[in-house]
Amino acid sequence: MANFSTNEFKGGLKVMLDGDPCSIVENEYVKPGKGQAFNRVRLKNLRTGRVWERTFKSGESLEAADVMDVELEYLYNDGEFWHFMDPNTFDQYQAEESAVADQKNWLREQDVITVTLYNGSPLTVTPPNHVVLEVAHTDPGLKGDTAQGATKPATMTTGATIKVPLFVEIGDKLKIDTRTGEYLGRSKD
Amino acid sequence: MVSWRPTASLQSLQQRAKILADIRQFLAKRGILEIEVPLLSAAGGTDLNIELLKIEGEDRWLASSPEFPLKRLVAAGYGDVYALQKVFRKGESGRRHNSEFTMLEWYRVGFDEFQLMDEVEALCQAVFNMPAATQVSYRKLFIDSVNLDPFTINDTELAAVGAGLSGLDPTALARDGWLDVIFSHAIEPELDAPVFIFDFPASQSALAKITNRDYGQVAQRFELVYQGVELANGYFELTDGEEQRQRFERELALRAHQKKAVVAMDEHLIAALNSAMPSCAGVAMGVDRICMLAAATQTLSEVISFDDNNA
Repeated sequence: MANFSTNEFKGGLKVMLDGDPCSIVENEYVKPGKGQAFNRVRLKNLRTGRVWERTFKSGESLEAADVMDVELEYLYNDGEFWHFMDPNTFDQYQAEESAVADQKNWLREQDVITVTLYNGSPLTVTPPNHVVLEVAHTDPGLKGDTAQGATKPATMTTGATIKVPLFVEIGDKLKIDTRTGEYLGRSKD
Repeated sequence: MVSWRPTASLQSLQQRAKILADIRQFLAKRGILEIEVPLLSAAGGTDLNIELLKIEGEDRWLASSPEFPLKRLVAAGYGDVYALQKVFRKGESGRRHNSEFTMLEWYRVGFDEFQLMDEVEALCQAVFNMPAATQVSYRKLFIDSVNLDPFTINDTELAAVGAGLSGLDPTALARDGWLDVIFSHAIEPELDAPVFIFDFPASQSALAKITNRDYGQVAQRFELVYQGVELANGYFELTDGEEQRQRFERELALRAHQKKAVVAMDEHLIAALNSAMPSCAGVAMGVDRICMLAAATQTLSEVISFDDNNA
């Protein structure tokens, strides 16, 4: 792979650091007038999601990471792997649990998901900000209870459990914000 | 996409024009003569941490500062002089850096660094309403800010502190490099009110005189930092041509050792210092940064017409 020097660092560039692929979040050139020049860099570790702050001597370089984002259709989970397919080439990819991690509860079969590939294998998945999921289980709503803001838990067909208003019933389709896990409303989709 | 538009707003360029006019008025009132000095010259600074730009196909370098010709004017007996013009530094590009930038540099015959600090403060107050500044020695600043004495701490402890702040390997830098890490990572960003820092370690003397304090040798050099931004760097100037030659030779040897570009030593400057150089103090100021603080912006791009990315 190519190397990137500190003067090529910019937001979004994917590089290897301590053996992990990282995405540069921010790069600041710092130099006392008569002193040593540094680049103070914030990098997101794409494997763990943690943000690192590191300083490099200006002119140092990092190896490029073989990372790319692709749009894949989520097929199914076989109990061990999550399977995805490129809708254009029909190439299939299998993701380990560590790659889907907290996002697995937002994956609905046939939805198109952004998958980050590292060395050709899924590293992380990023579902759309908003998804529509069906309620698999929730306690029956209490008739006549219209108290503002009262909620109850509901479990979606994908396994996610969220807080919903009391009127929500099994079989309802709900719009959910995947970044916060918040109920946004009922959907007609 | 081609971004042909200026990076600065019209309003900020109008403010910049006024700042340039106010600087000239301030210096003229004090009898300091504006001089245009060459931007292209056959020799240049040997500073280890400044890379010069060379004109391709010509034996000429772009000036990184108007310092050498201004000093030759002082040595020639032309009195107090200043230059307000573009200078060039290879690879310096970022939020507060641009590889070409506007520098104001002036020299005062008979001044020492403390008299010049007072004049720098007066200029900043006249030009952009800077609040009154304090003065603190480099040593006291380190002790007060990070609780270490930069003159007595041993190399191993210093490297450990610097490595902790930066994540760099403890063997990555030499002593002055670690002092720069601590200064730029932990001290400078916290300096909100204007402060003049003086008495730098002798190893960071550049073109300043060196003198003795009870804790060691210091360079008679100062910097002004305001809102975490370095605005000025001044010296009680070295006027000894032979000592200047030795410093140039030492820096050129280190440059060769580090495989950095080697620039011809400025024999004109050395001859001028050896001739009739009067005692004087000089200071360089970053005009774009002054405009940035005056306009309360976060980047230099917003106060220069076209930055490194679309020049």
